[in-house]
Amino acid sequence: MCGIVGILSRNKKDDLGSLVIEMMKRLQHRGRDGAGVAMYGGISLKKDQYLIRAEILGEDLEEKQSAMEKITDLANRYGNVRSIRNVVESEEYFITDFLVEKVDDFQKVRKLALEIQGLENVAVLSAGKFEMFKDVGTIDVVDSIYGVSEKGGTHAIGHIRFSTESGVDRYHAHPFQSFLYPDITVVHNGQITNYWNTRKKLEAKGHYFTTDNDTECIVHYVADKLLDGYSLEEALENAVKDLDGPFAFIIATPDEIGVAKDKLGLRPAMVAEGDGMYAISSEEVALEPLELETEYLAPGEFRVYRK
Amino acid sequence: MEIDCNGLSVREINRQIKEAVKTGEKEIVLLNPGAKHYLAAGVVGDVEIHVKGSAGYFAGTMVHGVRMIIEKNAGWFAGDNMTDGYIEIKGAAGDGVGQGIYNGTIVVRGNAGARTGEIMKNGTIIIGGNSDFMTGLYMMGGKIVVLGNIKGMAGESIVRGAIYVKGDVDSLGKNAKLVEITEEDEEWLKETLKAHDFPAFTEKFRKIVPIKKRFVYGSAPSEEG
Repeated sequence: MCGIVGILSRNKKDDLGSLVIEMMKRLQHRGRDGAGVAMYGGISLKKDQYLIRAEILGEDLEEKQSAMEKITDLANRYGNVRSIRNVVESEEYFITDFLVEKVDDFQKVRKLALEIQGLENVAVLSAGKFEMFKDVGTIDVVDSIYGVSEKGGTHAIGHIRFSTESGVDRYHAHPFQSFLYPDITVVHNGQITNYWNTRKKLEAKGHYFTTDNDTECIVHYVADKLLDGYSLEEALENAVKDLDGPFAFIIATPDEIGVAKDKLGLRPAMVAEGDGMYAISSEEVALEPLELETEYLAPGEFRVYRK
Repeated sequence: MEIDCNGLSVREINRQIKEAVKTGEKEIVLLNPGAKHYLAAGVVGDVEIHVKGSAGYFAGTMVHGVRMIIEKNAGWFAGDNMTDGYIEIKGAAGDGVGQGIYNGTIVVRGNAGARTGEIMKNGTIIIGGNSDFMTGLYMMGGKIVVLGNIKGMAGESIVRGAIYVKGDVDSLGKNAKLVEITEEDEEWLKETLKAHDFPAFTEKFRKIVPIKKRFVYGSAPSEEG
């Protein structure tokens, strides 16, 4: 059991972060292993600017600083590091934002992210024009680390994790990103039972998996379809046919959020619409604060909401 | 009496309901229910509970004798394992409404999710709108009435009981067959629908019943004598 939420507003909302956190708190009973939010439209970046958020492990400050220098050197080969900011500073690790500019193409961001990922004791948490907040523990923990409830934006997806597949750590917490397609992330409740076969096919097409969590294959699957020219609706329609197992997932792109539910309807999902707002959740209890009209999704159903 | 659910835990709400029932309270109104789960779980007694909004999962689970009216939606498994009583959902119900009920009546005015009446043993479930996938899954007794359509695999592995349907049936599950209703069925439907304020009985219903009453997976379907 996990809990998923998604919310999209036609206009930027200054209280989007607090809304998402409120919705997720109402789903906290669904798991305490991890929580995460991907938030869009909250940071203003120029066309050639991208935010790379990385976790840097190190036994002492020197070791962490050395890794930060290596990341900076790499980033300067693709563009220019405009600023470096430690979002979290603990003895064991830093979570650090690198604002990189003069990068003219997302494919370069992808290559840079993968090179950074290859560095020892470094993991890329997100790369693009959105913000990723995820960690082990409850949504209160994540909010206290990142101050999500203080942030605004146009849309966001969130996840409350009860781990049934793979490890409990920051990397296996949702959302997951695919570096092949700009700013695409996913949150998921359920299991993908044809994960390995799906992964094998996607890896053969160049998708890079950062974990062994079954959810990660969903984001690569959908990214793959979008790269092939499918609309998000078409990608979700295919996902419902091709992915096996019980699932409900929410996928976000720079301008839309989509939701899909498995053919047997074994995981819950409902939507709420009204006043230029669209919201999705595992349960109505999370949608209550929005006071919108609610609707259950049928087995095999999918929806897409656009800004 | 009224209970404002805002800020109360479900445990506290249900404690207050049960204490009120003990003292002979006959009508309880739950204000601001906030789609909370397990509302009125395990309440036993002759009491009417009005939920002024939506209920979450397992609304009225394991109740006995309670009359529960939910003004908006109910989440998954409304009325799960109830042994007697009446639950009315004015909006839509999630999956598994009436799962495993032993007796009593559940009325959903809107649509119901998948697996309506799963493993129900007795009692009646009426769905005013459509009922989704695998309605009557592993049904062992009782009656389901669907005024709208039923999605795929209706009556999957049903062994006893009947599903009455006015609309279309996408497909039947294993051990399920669609037959004409009898005069007795028609009388029962007329009375039951009238009793629950549904529009007058005009159109012909059909009925989904088991092919065999002791269904064994993989055995050749045949009419039981």
